Amino acid sequence: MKDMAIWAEKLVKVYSQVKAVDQLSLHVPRGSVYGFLGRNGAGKTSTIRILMGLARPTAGGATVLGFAIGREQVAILERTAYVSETKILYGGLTAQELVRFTRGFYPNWSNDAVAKYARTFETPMDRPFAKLSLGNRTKVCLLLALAQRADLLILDEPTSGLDPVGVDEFQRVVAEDLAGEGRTVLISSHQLADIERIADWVGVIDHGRLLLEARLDDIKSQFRLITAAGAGLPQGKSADIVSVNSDGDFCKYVVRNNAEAFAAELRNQGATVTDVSPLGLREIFLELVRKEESCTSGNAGEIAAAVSSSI
Amino acid sequence: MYFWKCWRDSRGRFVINLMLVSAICALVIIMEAKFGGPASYQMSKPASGVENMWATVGRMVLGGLVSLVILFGALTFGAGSIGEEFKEQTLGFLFTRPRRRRFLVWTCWLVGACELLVVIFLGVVVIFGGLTYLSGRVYTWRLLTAVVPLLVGALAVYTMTYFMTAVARSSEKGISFGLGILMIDLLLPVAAYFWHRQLTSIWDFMRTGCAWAAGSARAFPVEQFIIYAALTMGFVLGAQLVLERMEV
Amino acid sequence: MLLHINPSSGVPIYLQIENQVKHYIASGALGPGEALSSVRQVAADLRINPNTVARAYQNLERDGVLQTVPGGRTYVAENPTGLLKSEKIRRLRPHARQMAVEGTQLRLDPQEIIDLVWQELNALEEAHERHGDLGRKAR
Repeated sequence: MKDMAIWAEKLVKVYSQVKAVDQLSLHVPRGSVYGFLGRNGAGKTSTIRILMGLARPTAGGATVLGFAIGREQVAILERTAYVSETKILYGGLTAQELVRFTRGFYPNWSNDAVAKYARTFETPMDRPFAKLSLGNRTKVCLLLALAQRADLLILDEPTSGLDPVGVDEFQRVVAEDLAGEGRTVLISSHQLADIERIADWVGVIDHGRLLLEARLDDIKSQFRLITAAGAGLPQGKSADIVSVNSDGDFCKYVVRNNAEAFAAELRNQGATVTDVSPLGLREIFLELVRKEESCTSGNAGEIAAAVSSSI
Repeated sequence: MYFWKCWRDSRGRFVINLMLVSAICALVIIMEAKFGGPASYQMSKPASGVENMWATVGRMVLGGLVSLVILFGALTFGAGSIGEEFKEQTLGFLFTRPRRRRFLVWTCWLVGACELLVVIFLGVVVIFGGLTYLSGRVYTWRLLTAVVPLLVGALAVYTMTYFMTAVARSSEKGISFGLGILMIDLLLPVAAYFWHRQLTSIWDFMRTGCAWAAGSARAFPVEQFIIYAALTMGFVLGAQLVLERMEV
Repeated sequence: MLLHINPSSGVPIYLQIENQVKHYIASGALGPGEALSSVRQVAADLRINPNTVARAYQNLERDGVLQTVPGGRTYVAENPTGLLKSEKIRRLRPHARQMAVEGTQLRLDPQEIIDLVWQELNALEEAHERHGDLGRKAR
């Protein structure tokens, strides 16, 4: 537990009988860049709010940098930089004034970092925050978070509204100044391509539950798309088979483990395995979170039959 | 840092209240100069019964106005300070700074309390200075004791509105509640009278303060100060508890 | 060393880096004893995780292609690899098998496949000489 920046144990958060977070056990190793992925309403922001002390868990607990949430929240806040999903700061203050307001809270604050990142992101420092566009507001929020020189950064949609150059600069900063200096970064984002580049750990949350948590390298080396042709191919999902997509005699399997063994088994059954190919993070994510059985021309008839027989 | 920020936000309110109170107090002095003061200091004798009546009416109106302006100030300060955070939805940012929430709550409260003190003190000092100047002799120091009941009354209203704003999460609702309580507070002693009970209301504090400013030695039970001071502290603690437990 | 990676290709990023470094060395662009950019620098330039770069460097070091000085800097190994011949053959065999399978699937003659390998080897040698020439001109 000591080398975990964040350790959450069976977190539960219930909002009017809806479980936003459901027995979530999250493990973010120190020094890692952890991509926290999920659909809208999956529970990402709820989890983050619990870690930051903005909401109390209904059950379960967590430690952040070794400190318990709730009880030792101030110690956590001293060492954690946070960018919230809603990039809201005091509207009447300029970025320069916001810096002045924020730096008083943090002994490790670096004014050099403020100057450097203001330059890097081309942040307008003298306009009132309320008058800035979303992209510029994000830049100011990032600036305040980065200048803290914190051990842990929790970033919820940190590239909201940023143009491609801004996103690129952000990626470089994460690679060079954050991961490069051993800081831990938790990024909650929908930008899967960016996460795929910069993260070394990934956690996928859906309906408040953690579907997958592993090194990105491992995920990408174990998930495979197997295309096979033959009669009587297995149609059902299993622990290893995430999804099955069939079209006549052709079948596409998305397998999360032991792909080679499964392919061999198919060959033993007389099928022709035409392809065992790797998957990108986007495809893996989509396969994991899609619940509906896809309706292809192959099994549409079966589905229709099943529906009519249940009426 | 947060103290500076709260002060910055409330600057506008503060200045307006200062000007209003100064203006009203200046009017009081002019009135007294024209129509003569109460028994403790006589600057000129009213010429006729009519003028005397106008003077009395004017004195009542102005006295009431002073109370109203101070209480109005207390209401807007109470709703404005913490209400600002709710309006801008910046609590998510504020509460993720490394400070205990109670520290932030008390800091915010303190800024408004100090501003109220300055406003009331200034008003009283304006009257004190003006009357001293006009009457040609140093006016009785008892005038400055008028600050105490005015401050206690105003702080009670301020803190109660502060608490209501925190509970309702909105400055508009906070002010409405505050106004509502003040109206009830106006009527309660009347109702209590019918049940043969004495009830000290906020308005009593204001009247006493104005009376003392006018130089009259009106009696006021000391324990009421303690009760209302305790009530005020209770409301701040209440606001603290509400905000500590609040999910943002 | 100008690297380029494609994060969404099937090939893991660390492997892409390894392959490109090997290519630079094989073509002579990076000579024995030359220093490589630091892990942090490569990560920053490519906008990727430093651990990924570190893994590539570590793998190459394990293979004897690179060596890291205790001070921290990583260099191209002086003796490119001290492996036994048998080990080298073992390492190359999967690539050879891949070529054989692909070539057969495409219905190429064995000789055509072998000619292809020769062409690539010649190209590398020419590139090596070019880099050598440039080096001589620079001095």
